[in-house]
Amino acid sequence: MAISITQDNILAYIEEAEAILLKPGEHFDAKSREFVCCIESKDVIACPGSGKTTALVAKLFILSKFMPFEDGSGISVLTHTNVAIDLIKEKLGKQGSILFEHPNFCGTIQSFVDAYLAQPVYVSMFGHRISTIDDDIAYSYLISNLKRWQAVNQRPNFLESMRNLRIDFSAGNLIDRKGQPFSIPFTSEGTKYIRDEINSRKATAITKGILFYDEAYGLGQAYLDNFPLLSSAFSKRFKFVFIDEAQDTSSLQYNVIMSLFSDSVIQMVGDPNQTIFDNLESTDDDDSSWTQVVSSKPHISIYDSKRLSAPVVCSIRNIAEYPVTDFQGNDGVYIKPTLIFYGHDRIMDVLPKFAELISLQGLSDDCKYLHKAIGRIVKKNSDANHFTVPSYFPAYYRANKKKVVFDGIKQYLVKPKIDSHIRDVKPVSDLLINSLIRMLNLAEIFDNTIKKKPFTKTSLLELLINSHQDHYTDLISKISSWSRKILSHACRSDCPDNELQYPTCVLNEIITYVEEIFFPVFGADFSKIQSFIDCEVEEIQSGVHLDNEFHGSIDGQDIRIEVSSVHAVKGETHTSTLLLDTFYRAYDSTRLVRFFTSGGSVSDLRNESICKALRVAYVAMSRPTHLLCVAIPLPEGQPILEYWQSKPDIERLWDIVEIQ
Amino acid sequence: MYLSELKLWNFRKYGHDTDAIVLDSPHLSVNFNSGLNLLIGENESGKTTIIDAIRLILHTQTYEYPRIYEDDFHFDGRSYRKKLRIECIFRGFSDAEAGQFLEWIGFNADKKYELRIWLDSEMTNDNKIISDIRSGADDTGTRMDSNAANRLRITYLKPLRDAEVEMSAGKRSRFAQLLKNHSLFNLTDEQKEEHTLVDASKQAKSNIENFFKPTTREPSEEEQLPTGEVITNAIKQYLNEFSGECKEPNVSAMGTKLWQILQQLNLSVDHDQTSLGVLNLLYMAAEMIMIEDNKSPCLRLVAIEELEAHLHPNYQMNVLRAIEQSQEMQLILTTHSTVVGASTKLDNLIICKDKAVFPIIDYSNLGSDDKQFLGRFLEYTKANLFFCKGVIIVEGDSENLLVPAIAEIVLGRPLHSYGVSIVNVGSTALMRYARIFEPKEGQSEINMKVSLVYDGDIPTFEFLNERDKKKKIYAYDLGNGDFIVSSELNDFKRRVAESVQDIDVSIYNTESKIELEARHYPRFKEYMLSRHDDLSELNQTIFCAKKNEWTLEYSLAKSCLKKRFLRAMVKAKSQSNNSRTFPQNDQDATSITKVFYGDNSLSKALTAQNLVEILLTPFKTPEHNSRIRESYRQKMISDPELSYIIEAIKFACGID
Repeated sequence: MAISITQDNILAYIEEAEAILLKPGEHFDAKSREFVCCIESKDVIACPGSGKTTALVAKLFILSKFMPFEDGSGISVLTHTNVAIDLIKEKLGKQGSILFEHPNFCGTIQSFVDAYLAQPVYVSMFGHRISTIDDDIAYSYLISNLKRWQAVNQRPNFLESMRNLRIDFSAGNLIDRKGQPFSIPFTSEGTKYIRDEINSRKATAITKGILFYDEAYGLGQAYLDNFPLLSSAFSKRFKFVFIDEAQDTSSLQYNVIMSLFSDSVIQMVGDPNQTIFDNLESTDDDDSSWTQVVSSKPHISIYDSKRLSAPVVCSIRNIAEYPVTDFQGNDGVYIKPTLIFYGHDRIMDVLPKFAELISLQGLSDDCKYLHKAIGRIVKKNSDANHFTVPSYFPAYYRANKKKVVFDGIKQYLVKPKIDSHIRDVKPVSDLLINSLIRMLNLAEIFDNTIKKKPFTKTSLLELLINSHQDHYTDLISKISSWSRKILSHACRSDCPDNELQYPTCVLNEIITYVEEIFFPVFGADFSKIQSFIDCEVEEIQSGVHLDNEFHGSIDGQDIRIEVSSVHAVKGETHTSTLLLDTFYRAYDSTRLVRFFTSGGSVSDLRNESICKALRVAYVAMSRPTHLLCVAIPLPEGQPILEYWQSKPDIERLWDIVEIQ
Repeated sequence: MYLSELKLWNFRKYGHDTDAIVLDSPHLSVNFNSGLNLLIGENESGKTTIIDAIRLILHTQTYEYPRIYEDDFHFDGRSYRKKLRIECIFRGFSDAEAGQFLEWIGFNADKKYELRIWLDSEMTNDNKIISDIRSGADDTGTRMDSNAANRLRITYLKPLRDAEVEMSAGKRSRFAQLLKNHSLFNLTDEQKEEHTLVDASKQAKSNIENFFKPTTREPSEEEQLPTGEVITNAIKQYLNEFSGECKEPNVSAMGTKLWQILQQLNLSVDHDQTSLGVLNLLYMAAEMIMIEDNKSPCLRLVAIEELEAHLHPNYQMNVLRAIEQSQEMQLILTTHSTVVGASTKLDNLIICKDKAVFPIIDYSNLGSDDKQFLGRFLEYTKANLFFCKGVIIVEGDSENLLVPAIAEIVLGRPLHSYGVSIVNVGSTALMRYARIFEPKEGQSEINMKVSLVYDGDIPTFEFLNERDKKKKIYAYDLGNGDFIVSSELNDFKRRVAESVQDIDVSIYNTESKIELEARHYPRFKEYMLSRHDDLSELNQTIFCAKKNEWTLEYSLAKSCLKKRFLRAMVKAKSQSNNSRTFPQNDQDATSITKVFYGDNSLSKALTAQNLVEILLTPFKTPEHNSRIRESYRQKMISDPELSYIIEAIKFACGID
């Protein structure tokens, strides 16, 4: 008989899980064990570095031992980012593959809602599938036909307001993202025409299946409202539902999850203090998101941080929206965090100073140490005196990882380098095929000439298979050889292209292939793509390092510091972390000054901009195992430093370093 | 959940002459109910094609993978189609079942779950066959995850399987496969290691292997018999001579892994030589417990081809009854067997014929009381209704005997060579039987010709005017030598009111009933004829409803067969010791017919049997002159009294 899932049966496997997931000799603490063994709906509030994700993975590992469940049901693991899913996948290894198979689901909440709710209901409404769910694409589709009205309308935010344009799927009228009737910022000129145009453009977008992310939830809710029996089917299918980083769950998502899995065991794991993603913009009347309700629900609290040292915990305990007095650090390391104050003209000395502090703490000589300097705002401010991340590190390259259509062949070749996580051949070969399709488009060769419908990967390959078998075989072998070269590029220091971001040999081969073989097959005019061939990657010209690494040199020793945004490092563990204060309408240090010592007031916590800054700072400062530094600019002519120093506790919690 | 609908496009015989696959108009569409479905039809009627289509798309529990071959594509007589499609639609989902298919399931207009899965197959120009199975609520769909697809596997019992082999030990043992999948053996690796069976098997293995192990000790005195050592040593000697090396031969017994043990098991009854029929019952029983054992949400569909091929007739009924009881399973069976066909409720019957399939429940124009009636009366002799190209439905034993004889004379060869069956429904309820073949509105016609041969039942005036039969009727003299005649008061009133104004209502008194007079008779006959006009509603392309004036006997007495008929009567009289006074050769038809009525009447069936013998004698004896035979045939064909029979025969046989 199959073994039933009970607390005792789970407990029997916990040592095996510890052996796989923890360092030798380590064990889960009592609270983590309680969570791993818990088989009822209960949430987990965990402090940074508490190992909650590891505990969740242990739980998944053990549950996978019981699979397939006798009743045919499965589990669902929902996260907010694909990175988080990859992390779980990586930790589980081969053992976890069953979790990614039917009847289980592991993926982002968005992908779950898209696949299980939005897509089916959309199909039932329109008879075909959604083509894309993507804010950027949905926005650019909307405005592509409305741009000409900008001149008439003249309101600067006219086009931008289209980002908020949603449709209410049950009523069919236009609303904004908060569910209010959509109002167009326009001047009286051409009002009616504009409104009609917007109406019809949005209607076309919907019928074409081009949706904003959050419209998927609207669709999902409509699906549930229409077919209430779905919720029991979902509960039968998914016996357990786990949500990691639960604090990033918007009320929209939270409500869908709660109504969808009404009879499942739901366990949400998160830290209300680390809510930093903007799509959740909670409004005042929004009291149904997880962070708002979790403390009043049955929950397990894990307040022992394995990552953070006791001094770091002491320093940041109060820099939190929901301060936790039981928050404990570990005793292994004792390095007091440092505040680095610098004068405006000394900003370029901040990163070297950080390198120096790293070296001082003896953290420089081991390549396994990871150092990062992170800031909240990475976009350049037009006023050079308002510092953002590039002010500290001018070579900062903000990669648009989502961009997939480029103006030059070289950009296609550089792309795998930018997406540093790409290690498989498939994404690279897809890119190469996309570049060929792009070239055909530019040469006005289409899959369907009348409708000017471009080739897709499938339609292009199918055409070659059916009509040009030889060319197909040739192309496939070429693509695989190019992909291999691109992936292994710059791994040898003696390669002549080492300084470049792409292998020139591949570039030349592609150009020759396209000119001599590929284009003649389609009867395409090679001259039409000359500019595509010639187009340079701008970053390469300016010598920007795509890897965003600052190299500090202390006593001849190279200290590599990766520069990044706070949002990008969420969930990471560093050896040392430097939080770079950045400016967005104000410096966060100004907003948070009170929190650095005693904690803020009640009125501070009602101020949304303070709360946001607080959450970002909390996430940033809870990364390092050893050294935490915060770089704060000293405004000219103001005795801010004195003000800081006048605070009674500051010197107890922080070392102060001044660059003047 | 159950398989509710199967649709085929260009699959084997079900196809069109274009490659276009129009989703709205499949070339075959079959509806199944959630319980028993019996596909019944003659050879080549498409039963196996339907089961094969289901197997191709859903696959079987035995993990055989049937694949699409070139001749699965429809052949229109000139060329093969390039594309085929098979689609299944499932309905009746529980929450747990729906949960398994959330990625693919949709809803119908009634907001009920509906799951579609389809197979598209294409033959490329270089004759490769590319197949793709997809599922979804839209027409694009996505591939179904294999774990989910496994939940749609069917249990399939193929025809003429070797039940003995499948239930016997060996790597291919179906029994071992069933056991392995049973929840009893759904164990962790450790539990499998420590299983009682493994212990027992290890013990036996070591005993057996020790028997052959060379021993160094001297055999003790108790050991009467030598051990297998003798053999091992002898082999060793040769082996070492052959190889020139020193090698140790080793006798090893069966493996002791749990799955190896299971493969060593046989399933049989009473250790005796078991009959094939019982083995088949065992096989089915084993399959059934597997379906019952599986508690997780999945399709529980059993397809059995040619139930009669597996089972002795005496088991067939038992098995059918037993599986009909099962609420848990959906069954799709195919059969030629009239026994199986007749013992199944009409609702569960699906007739396969030519290029179409007709579930009686959907196809026929049967009312529920018709169905009850048929359920009671469809004994298995009548179920051959389903197997022929044409049917002649008759209402009595005499017709049942005579029609084939007349057919053989008139057509020159027996009825069955035309694929035409005679069904004697033994009652005047033949309209009810005929309705089985009558399509509901919107249903395409079944390609079967149905003739109804029956009596007009209008006795002659002479007969009615006999003293003891005197018929009372309502009659109204229209004054111009014509009458309104009826035997029913309401009908009488209606018709009088239609033709006469300012009527004196006193004529409606029951006293106005009068004796039938000769002058009333023509109108009376008209009235009788008009009462049977429901026949005209029958579909003319399927049905031919022919009747005579009064009875078969009356027609025969009036026909060219009169003399032979009288001879048959005389013979029947002597055979049955009937004391009835007998008409002479020159007597009129009414008098002859009267012999079959009243007390001490002559047996119609016996007479018919004698007549058949008399009629066929000239055709059985080879020395008989063929010219006489031909003139005899011509006489019958041109005889108006026999035309109602001959026309019915020709229609059913498809002869113009």
